[in-house]
Amino acid sequence: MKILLVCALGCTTSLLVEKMKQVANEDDVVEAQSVTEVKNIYKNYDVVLLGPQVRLQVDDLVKICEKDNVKVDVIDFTAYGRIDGVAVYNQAKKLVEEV
Amino acid sequence: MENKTLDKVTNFAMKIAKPMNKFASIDGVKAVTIGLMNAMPLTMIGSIFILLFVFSTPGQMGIENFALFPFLAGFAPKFLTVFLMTLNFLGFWCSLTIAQAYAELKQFDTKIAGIVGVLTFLLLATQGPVNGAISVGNFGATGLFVAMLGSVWMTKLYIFLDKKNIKLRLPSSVPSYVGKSFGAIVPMLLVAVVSWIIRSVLNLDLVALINLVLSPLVVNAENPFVYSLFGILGNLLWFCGLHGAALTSPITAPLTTLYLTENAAAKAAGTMILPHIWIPYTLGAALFVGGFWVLTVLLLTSKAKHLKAIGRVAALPIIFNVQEPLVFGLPLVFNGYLIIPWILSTVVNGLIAWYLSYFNIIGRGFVDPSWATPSFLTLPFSTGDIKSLMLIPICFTVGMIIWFPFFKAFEKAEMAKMDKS
Repeated sequence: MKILLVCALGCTTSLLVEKMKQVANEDDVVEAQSVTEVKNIYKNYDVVLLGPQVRLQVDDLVKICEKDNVKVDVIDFTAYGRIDGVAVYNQAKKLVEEV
Repeated sequence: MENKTLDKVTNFAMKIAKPMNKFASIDGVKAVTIGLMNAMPLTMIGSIFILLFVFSTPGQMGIENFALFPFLAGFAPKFLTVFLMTLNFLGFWCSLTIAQAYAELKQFDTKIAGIVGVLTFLLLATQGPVNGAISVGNFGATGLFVAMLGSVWMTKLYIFLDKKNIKLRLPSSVPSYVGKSFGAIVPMLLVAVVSWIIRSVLNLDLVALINLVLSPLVVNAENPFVYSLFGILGNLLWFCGLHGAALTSPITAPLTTLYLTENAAAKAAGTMILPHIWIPYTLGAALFVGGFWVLTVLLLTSKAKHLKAIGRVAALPIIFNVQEPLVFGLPLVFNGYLIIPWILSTVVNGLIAWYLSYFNIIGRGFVDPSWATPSFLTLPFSTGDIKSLMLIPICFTVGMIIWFPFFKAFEKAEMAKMDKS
């Protein structure tokens, strides 16, 4: 599973990346980027998760990503704030398995 | 706060957030914001060199005849050279970075866009070489707005011409890279002609014109009332879990970048009292100490175990100005107890920092360190004035007085919730 986490600059989400890697499988990819980059790179991922602070952009990104079958969602507030890698990883997994 | 009031506050903030998000999503606005950010390596280098100048010139640090590196005094004027060509040429550099950022957003060739941006800037903001020398008077703060507008509009024009296929076409037997560079001739020519007509034929000085039109805004926007208003707005956006700075900075950054560039130029010219107060990270350091530092200390010393645990998670990020663990983890989002001290401390500490700068008790910022620089480093490095560190104990104490009663009420409610479950 390839997961992209995005926030305003890709900084807070990078804290989360480390936590998620601890629970992720070996062949999983977890990366953090700035939300402005999504348009250029989303095709390399299965799921794009937005930090809640940039959630106003979720509708635009869903429109762009869904035609390539890339899932987009906003990270749960509490899981995000507590830098809860397990919860966010499971959120990503659930989205991908929905198909 | 009661639930009803809370709902009202939330609805109000979301109502403001939507148009702000729309504004921030305009490609031209995005390009300016990203372009300013992409010029950061240059502003950083310029900052290092102007700091070297300040630290090695006696009397520049707010203490008479004192220099941190007196042995470098002989070098002082030389340090300025790099500053003058980086941070002090920000308008020029931004004409490159903004055009490239715009092209990237439009998924267009950024190399060509860079040429368009710089060409436009040179044609619009200078009168060309006279006796082998070109006047760089507009390369800095004064040319910043022309760089922003020129780069966005001319890149837009270029992309439009290219999409409409208004270009020379060579037979397909010509190698594609040759064809590509020939293809650029016509749109580039039109970009040059438009800029040239504006500046040289019509003799329209866009730099002077734009600065004249915007000067009431530039002058009047810099007051403690507007500053506090943006502070409150930022808090309310974060309160709804939205990135406050990402939404307000597209509006404030062009202005505050101008203020910073003018302050840096004044500092380099040896001015003792700098013209501007609103330097975002200098004042922001006071807000961070009086807000999130206070809250983190309150959490770390809390009797409630789960609050203490959040304090532990948040402490290190907070030192580097990352507030999300508190905003979403505590959470501060939709937190009726803590929104009051949050806004109060923002306003009160903001005004303290503002007026201490206004009355020149502490120096004003002329360097903008990276946003992730800890407050205790930001203050002395952005102002070159060691006295600016006094903001830390002052704002921390004031913040503590403001936050303490509200935090205790919040803690009590949290403990009651815990007991119930």
